[in-house]
Amino acid sequence: MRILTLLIVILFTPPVWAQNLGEILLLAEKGDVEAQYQLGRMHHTGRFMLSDGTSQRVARNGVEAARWYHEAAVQGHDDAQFWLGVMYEYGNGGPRNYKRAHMWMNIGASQGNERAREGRTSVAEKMNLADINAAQQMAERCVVSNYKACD
Amino acid sequence: MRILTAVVISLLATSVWSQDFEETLRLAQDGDASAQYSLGVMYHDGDGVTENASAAVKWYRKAAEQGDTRAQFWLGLMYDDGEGITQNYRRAHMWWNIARLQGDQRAQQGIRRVEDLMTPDDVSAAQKMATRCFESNYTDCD
Repeated sequence: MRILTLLIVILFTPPVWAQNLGEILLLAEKGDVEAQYQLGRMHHTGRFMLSDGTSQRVARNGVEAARWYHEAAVQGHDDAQFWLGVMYEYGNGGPRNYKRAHMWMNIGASQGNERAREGRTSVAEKMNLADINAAQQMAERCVVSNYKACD
Repeated sequence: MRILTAVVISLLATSVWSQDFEETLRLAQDGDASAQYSLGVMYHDGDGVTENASAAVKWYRKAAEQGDTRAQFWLGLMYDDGEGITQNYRRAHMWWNIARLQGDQRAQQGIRRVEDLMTPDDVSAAQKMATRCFESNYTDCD
């Protein structure tokens, strides 16, 4: 339903990027998980996709990207979980943290996200066994707490 | 005519298929461990129902906690692989350790393999978890 609303908003608002962005921001602030993910992508890539298929350049901002990915990730968005993992893996938007990267990719992978699964494998190659196992406990705790105990 | 026959056959097959699922689901919900295991397999393979790894984990777990050794083995594998549940070597080790106790050979091989991915501290923690789970008669497995 929320996605439908978002689609309708995207389809029927005039292709003025600022107006599009305003709508998405509003939705994201209200807790719309897909809007939060789109904002994460926008800040991460520096591109805001418009309804006519073109995109508008915006400033890249890793901190804001990580913030919005995190908002969507704790609502269970598997792509946001994957990208948040990538941010942690490369220290984008905050200090590099392989355990956190592994944790989020593990959670995304558990939902069947294939990129998260591959990402988990590649970040694990950079970690020692103790850290991998510790990251697995963190992931379990995060999910079991219903995303309340993820930090 | 052939097309009609094919349609009829496939409709019949589909109904038998889903009947199988419905029946298994009913038994599983009534607490039948073997049906819970079968339901886990159905969700895992997408047999009679849309494939759903987390539902497979859910039903394997119910059967495993009733002592079904096959379900314990598969639950361990889901944890080892991170399929339908977050990957967790300690949990895989725990369930395989319990399955091995009841004579499951595949679990023995799984343990040997997963121990290569764990520190001695992790193995020790996993063994404690298995003891607690088994001795509590599956009431303290989390």
